[in-house]
Amino acid sequence: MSEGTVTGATPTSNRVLAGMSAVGLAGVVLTYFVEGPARFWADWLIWFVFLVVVALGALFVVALQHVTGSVWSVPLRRAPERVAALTPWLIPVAAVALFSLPVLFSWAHPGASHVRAIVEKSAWLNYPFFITRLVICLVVWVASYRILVGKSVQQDTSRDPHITVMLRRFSPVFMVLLGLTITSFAFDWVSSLEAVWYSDIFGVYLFAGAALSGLAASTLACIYLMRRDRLTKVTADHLYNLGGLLFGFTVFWGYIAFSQYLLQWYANMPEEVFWYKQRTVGGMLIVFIILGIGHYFVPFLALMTEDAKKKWKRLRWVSVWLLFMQIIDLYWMIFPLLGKNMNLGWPELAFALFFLSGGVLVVKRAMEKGSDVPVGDPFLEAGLEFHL
Amino acid sequence: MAESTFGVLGIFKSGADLLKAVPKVKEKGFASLEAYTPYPVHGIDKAIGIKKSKLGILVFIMGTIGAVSAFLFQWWTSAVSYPLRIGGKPYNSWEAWVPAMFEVTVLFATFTAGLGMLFIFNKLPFFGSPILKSKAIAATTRDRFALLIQPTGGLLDVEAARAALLEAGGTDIEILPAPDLTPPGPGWWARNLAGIALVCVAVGFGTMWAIKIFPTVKPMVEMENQAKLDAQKADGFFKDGHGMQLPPVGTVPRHYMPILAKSPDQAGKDLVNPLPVTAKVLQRGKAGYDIHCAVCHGYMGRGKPLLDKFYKASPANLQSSTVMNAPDGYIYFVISKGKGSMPSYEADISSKDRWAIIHYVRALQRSLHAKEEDLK
Amino acid sequence: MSEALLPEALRVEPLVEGDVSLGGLDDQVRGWIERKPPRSWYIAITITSLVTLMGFTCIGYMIYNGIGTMGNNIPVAWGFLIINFVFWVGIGHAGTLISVILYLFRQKWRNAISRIAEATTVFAFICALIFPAIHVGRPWLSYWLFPYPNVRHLWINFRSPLVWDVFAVATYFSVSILFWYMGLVPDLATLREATSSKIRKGFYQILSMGWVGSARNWLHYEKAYLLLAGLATGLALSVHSVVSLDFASSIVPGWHMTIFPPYFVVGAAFSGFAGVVLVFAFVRKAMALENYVTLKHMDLLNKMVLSLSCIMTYAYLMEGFTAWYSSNTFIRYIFANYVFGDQWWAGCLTIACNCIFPQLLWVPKFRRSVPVMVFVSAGVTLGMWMERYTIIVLSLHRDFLPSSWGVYIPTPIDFGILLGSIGLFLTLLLLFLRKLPIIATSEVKPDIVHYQSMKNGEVDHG
Repeated sequence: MSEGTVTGATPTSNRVLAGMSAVGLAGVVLTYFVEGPARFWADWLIWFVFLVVVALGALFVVALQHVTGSVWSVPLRRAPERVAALTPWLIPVAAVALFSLPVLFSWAHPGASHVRAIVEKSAWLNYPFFITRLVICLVVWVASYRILVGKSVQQDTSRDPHITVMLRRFSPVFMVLLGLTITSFAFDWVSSLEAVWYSDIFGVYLFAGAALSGLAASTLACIYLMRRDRLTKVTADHLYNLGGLLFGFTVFWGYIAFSQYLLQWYANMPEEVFWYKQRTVGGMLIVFIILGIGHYFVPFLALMTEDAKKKWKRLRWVSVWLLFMQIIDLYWMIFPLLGKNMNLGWPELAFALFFLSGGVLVVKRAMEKGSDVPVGDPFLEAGLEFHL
Repeated sequence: MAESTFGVLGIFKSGADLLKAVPKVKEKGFASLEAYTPYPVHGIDKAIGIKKSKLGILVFIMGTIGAVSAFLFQWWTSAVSYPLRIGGKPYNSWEAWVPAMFEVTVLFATFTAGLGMLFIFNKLPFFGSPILKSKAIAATTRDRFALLIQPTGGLLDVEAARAALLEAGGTDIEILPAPDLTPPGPGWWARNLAGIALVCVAVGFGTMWAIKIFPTVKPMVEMENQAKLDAQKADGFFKDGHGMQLPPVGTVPRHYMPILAKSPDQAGKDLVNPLPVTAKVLQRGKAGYDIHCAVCHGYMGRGKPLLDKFYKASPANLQSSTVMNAPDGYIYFVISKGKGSMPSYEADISSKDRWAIIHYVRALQRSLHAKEEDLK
Repeated sequence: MSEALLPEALRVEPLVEGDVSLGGLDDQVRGWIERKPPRSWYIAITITSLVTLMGFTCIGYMIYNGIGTMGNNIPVAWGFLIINFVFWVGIGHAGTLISVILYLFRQKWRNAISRIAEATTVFAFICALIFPAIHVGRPWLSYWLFPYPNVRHLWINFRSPLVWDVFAVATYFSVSILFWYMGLVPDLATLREATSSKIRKGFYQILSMGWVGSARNWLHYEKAYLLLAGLATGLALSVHSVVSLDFASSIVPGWHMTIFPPYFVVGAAFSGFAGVVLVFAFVRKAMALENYVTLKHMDLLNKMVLSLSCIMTYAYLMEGFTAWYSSNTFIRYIFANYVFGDQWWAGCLTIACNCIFPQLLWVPKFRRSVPVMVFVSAGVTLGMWMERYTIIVLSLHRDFLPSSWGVYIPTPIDFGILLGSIGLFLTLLLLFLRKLPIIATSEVKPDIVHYQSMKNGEVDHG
């Protein structure tokens, strides 16, 4: 079992990441002036939502372990805790994203007061309430991060088993808060772009994406640590469970996504189905098909067999693929707002470079401090001895 | 004797003891081993050297067959064999086929898993295993764990096997005789095939009864005699015994203006053509004339019917002076009520169309009696 | 960290308790089957059989005289029969979820309860299947539901959720029976060897198919079990989703909500777990199962009931919120009608039983208290039936045009059929409890071995 790695001078890889992020940032800023505010805000929004989804997903994975009291996952728990280090960074990204409201969101446009459907929900969709909800979400998320991850790190040194008791009591509460806040976030930041549209499964849909992305990011972090021998005694049997969870949540995501589509397609109500109509014509049809096959069938077939779930190489590329698919999902949902100006080009690459490099850098730097396994957890020994 | 032995069996008190015994027995050179346990003991497969089960591959194949066949069947019935427009959706609505396809996939896959495991991989039902007749089976299905040394390549040194088991900690060593593997005789085949045939016949008759006979029995058949009026049947509900009644006297259809005039002359005096003479009206009139009137009166209105030979009556010549001098109302009355052999066209041509036809007739008349001014 | 130093909240409770052994378990299971049942069993089954008979009489009366003998009318064309169908299918999900999903998550506490839970599933489905058969106007023509070549060249309408229902429920029913039977095979083999009665031995001989429990047998068996578990999980999720599509694919206000599929599945699990809690609360005492189905099991079952109650509360909140958010007058009215309308008691009872009373289960003491868990679970069962009533009747009786509004008044026949189905379920359950092995011995035996090794001082790995 390996204890933590000591921080020293900033490793070269971190400098490289920082450099890539800076280059990305330059491109991001340039997008605003060259391609226009709409494109800029659409891209910013997509990456904001993606960061939220990954951070919350990681917190979900941590809380899930406490709620179920599972032992096999204890040695691996530090990986999602590191990914969750993205949570405090949501605040600046969100603050910037607020300025996209008048540009992208149909209820914030001047013409909205003439649309009866939007006027009738203006008690929910108005600036003060919207911003209040965002603040509440961020407060809840950052506080939960401090508790779930902070206490776990604290336990490394204090070795106090009562922290585990406290975390096991807090996690169900966190799950309730997560459910409510992620739903509010989904409705506010993705669904209300087209304020007339509504779908009550949408919170669950974004949650499914979050759980899947959080798991994928955590699996990648685990494999990263394993490959550097920082998680000795963690075996393919542990990975099998991660693979099983990835498989299960992939099926869950597919089920939720298809349910929403089937119901809105079937009833064909104008105030609902136009959203899908926009996203299944022309170029968007190809993206739709790619999403269906890539987000569901490819991971399903790749992780179907018992053996596949144990191979770290397979899990690695499936995790990367799932994160990539989540980004495509967000593009598919948000980009059609740009109407005819929906192109893919250098701005998207710049944003990807900025946010991905920045995100990986944040997680990597979190991994450089402290222990790679929760050494204070009373069930660590038992967890390491897990076999199928 | 080596050939007629199924194997030598030894009993162990716990799963752990059994696992410890296996390598000891293998060391002595016995490679064909089998174990009998009341529950699956983890690690025994690796210890004995059994390969992983191939059931998964079969299940995947059958599941895929289920998916493809369900999808194709739904597509064929909905889009090819008898396409019906349901809910305005296109014939090939793949979205609607996903639920049933999923269910059929799962059905095929699960039955392959369950029945495949029992019938194909475990070769059950099979009541001839020597273990079933052994003394050990009562214990191995309860709380003991048995290890069986089987002949390798048909040969087994029974005494050495017994010694190996005893050394490894086994008790109650049993030597099991080989089963009787003669294939079943014609009697067995006859019995079973006759049984299956009997079942098929019974099911066939049962189905026929359920579908053909049962619905004709009371109370099912009572739904065929319903207490309702049928337009084409007699019924005692009304005094005159008819199911269908005439509407009350004086009933008129909607948008209907009755012609109050009693004679063509009176109609000629009372009625005026309400339609203007426009190209549209004339086209409408032409269309109506060609459909309804030209059959008897000819395309130019000269009264030469197309079915001249077969028609005994002589339709009026619309180019005659009588018709040319008759007012529009007169012609309207004749079209509406009929005259002589000409039937009433009130039901076939709407009021407006009749007036339009009259304008067209006037145009026809003018065409054959053109005056010099018309050419200017 | 050794057990002794752990705070009490973190110590792992054993799965079995008391003086247990492998042979002892077999004897106990066999005893329930071979010993004559006590008088209370005879009294109970007489009552339930009479109730069942009453129910079937009502059904016969209804088929003879027509659908009008029930409360169905226009606009409420779907009444008790559909409510009962969805209710029983929901309860039927218990067994699958316990047997299959908890197996996939390697929750060993499901071992002792899986057999009875799976039986509950099969019996609940038998009760459920009565309703689609009788709710059509001409049940003897039900074979028209299946695609067979006919002289009119007609096929069934694959674009209808009702047809998807046929496939889903038929698949689920047959798979449940298959899974239940597969689990029974090794236990029937044990009984075959242990019984002294020749008739019983022949019976078990045939049913156990000559199972010997060889390592190869178990290898394929475990593989099949794992595959079935994975497939049945997907199946269970899909079946109640398809049932929900019966409603959600329409445009009736209150029915066309995209959250219906997962919401119904969670509701099914919820009513299923509550049903299992009720069954075990009685069976534990009546058949002295406390050594195998301990208070830890009941605690965990109640935790599941609590979690599902929270998810149901979320779903109700989402429905209410989205109803308002949709800005659609009709949807807004319907949801207000659920709790404030002329049948407000239905909506309020639903919320009280499904959302409020289960919150008692946050208290650890209550999770282990039989009176509290019976109260909560009975409430949940009633609440879930009420929820289906609310969704079906209250949405239909006041939809778009006020001139089409109507009233639904259930008749004694409606209640008779409902009670009859409950009687049928209980009759089948009582028969099962005394005629088939009620504990999956081949699954619990490893737990006993583990427990014995723990008692002998080996380390517990949780």
